[in-house]
Amino acid sequence: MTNEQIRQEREVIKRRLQKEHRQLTVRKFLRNKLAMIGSIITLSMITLALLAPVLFPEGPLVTSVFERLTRPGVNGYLLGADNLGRSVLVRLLYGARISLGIGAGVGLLSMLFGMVLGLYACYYPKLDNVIMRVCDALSAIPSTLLAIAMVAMLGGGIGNLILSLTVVSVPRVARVARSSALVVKEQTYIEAMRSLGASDSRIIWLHIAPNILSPVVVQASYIFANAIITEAALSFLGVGVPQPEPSWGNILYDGKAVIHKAWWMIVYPGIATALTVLGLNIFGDGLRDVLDPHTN
Amino acid sequence: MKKYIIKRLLTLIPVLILVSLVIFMLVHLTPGDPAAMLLGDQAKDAEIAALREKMGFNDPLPVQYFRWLGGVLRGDLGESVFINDSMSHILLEHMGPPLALTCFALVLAALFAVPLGILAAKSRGRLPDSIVSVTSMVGISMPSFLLGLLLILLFAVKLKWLPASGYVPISQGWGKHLKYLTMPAIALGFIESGLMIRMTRSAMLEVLDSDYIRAARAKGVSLFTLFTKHALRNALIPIVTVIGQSFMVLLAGATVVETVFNIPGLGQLTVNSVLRRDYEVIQAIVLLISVTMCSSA
Repeated sequence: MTNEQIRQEREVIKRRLQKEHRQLTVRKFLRNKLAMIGSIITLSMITLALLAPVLFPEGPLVTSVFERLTRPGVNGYLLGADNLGRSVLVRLLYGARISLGIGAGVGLLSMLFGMVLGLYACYYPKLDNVIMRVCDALSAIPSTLLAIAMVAMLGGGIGNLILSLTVVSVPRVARVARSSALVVKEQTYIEAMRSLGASDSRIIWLHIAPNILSPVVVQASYIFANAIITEAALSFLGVGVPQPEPSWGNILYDGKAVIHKAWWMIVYPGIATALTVLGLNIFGDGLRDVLDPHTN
Repeated sequence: MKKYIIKRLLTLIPVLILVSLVIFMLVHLTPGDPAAMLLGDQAKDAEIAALREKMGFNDPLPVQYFRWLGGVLRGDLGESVFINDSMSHILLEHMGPPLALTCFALVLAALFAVPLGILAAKSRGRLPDSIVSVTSMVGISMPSFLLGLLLILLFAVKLKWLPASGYVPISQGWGKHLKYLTMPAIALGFIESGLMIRMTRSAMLEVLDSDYIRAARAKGVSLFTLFTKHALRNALIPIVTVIGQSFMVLLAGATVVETVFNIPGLGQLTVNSVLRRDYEVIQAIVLLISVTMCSSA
C-alpha cells in the first residue's frame, strides 16, 4: 500500500466515523422526550409565524370600529377583536414574527459576539481580564433595567431592541464560551497544533471553536427564550416595539387598558408567550442533556 | 469574618467603577445632544446653549465623568430637570413600595417553594415529583408581568376578591397594605420559587443520601422528625443562599410588576422617566439598583 492509499483510506474512515457520530447525536436527540416536546412547540410557533402572511394576507393593522372588542368566536373573530376592532388572532400571528424574530436575532447575535469575546479572552490572558471585568459590570446591572435604559437612550424600534438585548445577554455567552474554551485550550492536540506552527486564529477558530459549540448553543436557546420575555416586558411597558406594529408585548399593553372587558386580549397572547418560552426552555434542557451531559 | 467582609468589599471597587462607567457612557455616548433632548423639540437654540452650559455638557467627557462620580460618592446624584427635586429625595420617595413588595414576595416564594421542594425530594421519581418539577418549569417560563395580568383577570375581574391595582402604605394599616400587595407579590415571587424548588429538591436529595440519615432511619426516627430536624437543617445552607440571592433578582423584577399593578415605585418612575426622556433619573435608578445588587451578590 502506498502512502497515498493509506491517506485515502484514513480519510474514508474519518468520514464514516463523523457520520456515525452525527447519526448517534441525532438519534439521541430524537429519543430525548424533553428535547422533542420542546422542539415541536418551538417549530410549530415558528411555522405559524412564517405562515401568517399566507393565512391572513390583509395584515394585522386592519381596524373595524363597529366590531371593537368582539368576543371570541363571534363574527368570524376566532380569538376575538381588540379595542380597535383588529383580529387578535391575526395580530398574534404577525406578533409572533416580531417577537420570535427579535428572540432569534438576539440569540444568534449573542452567540456570535459571546463566542468571539470568550475565545479571545481565553486565548490571550491580557485581554481576559479586561473582557471579563466588562462582562462582570454589564451583568451586575439587572438585564431588564439595562435594556430599558438602552432603549430609552437609543430610541425604540426593532433594531435598537435587538441591539440592547444582545448587549445584555452577551456576557452570559462569553462566560460560558470562555470557561469551556479554557478546558479545550489545555488539551494536547492544541499544543500539537501550536508546535506545528499553526497561527493563533487558525487554532482559535478551527480547533477550539467547534469544540465549545455545544454549551454555547444550549446557552443561546435559553437566551432566545429570555429575549422573548424581555421584549414582551419592554413592549408591555410601552418602551419596546412601537405601536401599531403587533408584538406579543404590545397586544398585552393594549389589553391591560381593557382588562375589565376583554379577557381574550390578555389570555391568548399570554398563552402564546408562556408556551413559546416554555418550549424553548425545555428544548434547551433537552439539548443540554444530549450535547453536554456533564454540566447537569 | 471581618477580614472576609473587607476583602469582598475591596474586590467590589473595580466592578463598581466599571458599572459607573457603563452607566455614564449610556447617557453620554449615545448620539444626539443631551441638552436638546432634555428640552424637547420646541426648544430654542439659545435655551439649549444655556442648559448645556449649566449642566456642564460642554466640558470634555472625562471631566464630566469625574464630576458626576465625585457627586455620586458624596451622595449627590444630581437633580431631575422635570420633577425639579433632588435625585436622592425622588429615589427615597419611590423606594418604599418596591422594598415592601420584594420582601413580601420573597417570604411568599420561600413559604411556597421549600415545602414543595421537600415533597419532591421525598417522592423522587414518582408523580408528586413530576408535578412539582413541571410547576417549577412553568414558574421559570412565565414572565412575572404576564402572571400579574392573569391574576388580575382571575382575582380582581372574575372573582372580585382583591383590588386590581394600587398601593396602600403601611401607615394606613397592615391589613389593607397586604391586601393590595398580595397579587403583585405572588406574581413577582412565583418565578423565583421555581428556582428555589429546584435548589431545595437537589439539596435535600443530597442530604438524604448521606450516612447519618440512614443511621437515623435505622434508629427509628419518625419520618417527620427525620425530614424537618435531621435533613432540612443541613440542606438549608444552599437553600438560604438562593433565597438571599433572590432578593436582588426580585428587587430588579419589581420594576416591571409595579407597572402592571400601578404601584408608585421605582419601576413606574423608570417608565415615566423614559417617556419624559428624563435621562438623569434613569441613570440614577440604574446606578442605585446595580450598586445594591453588586454589594449583595
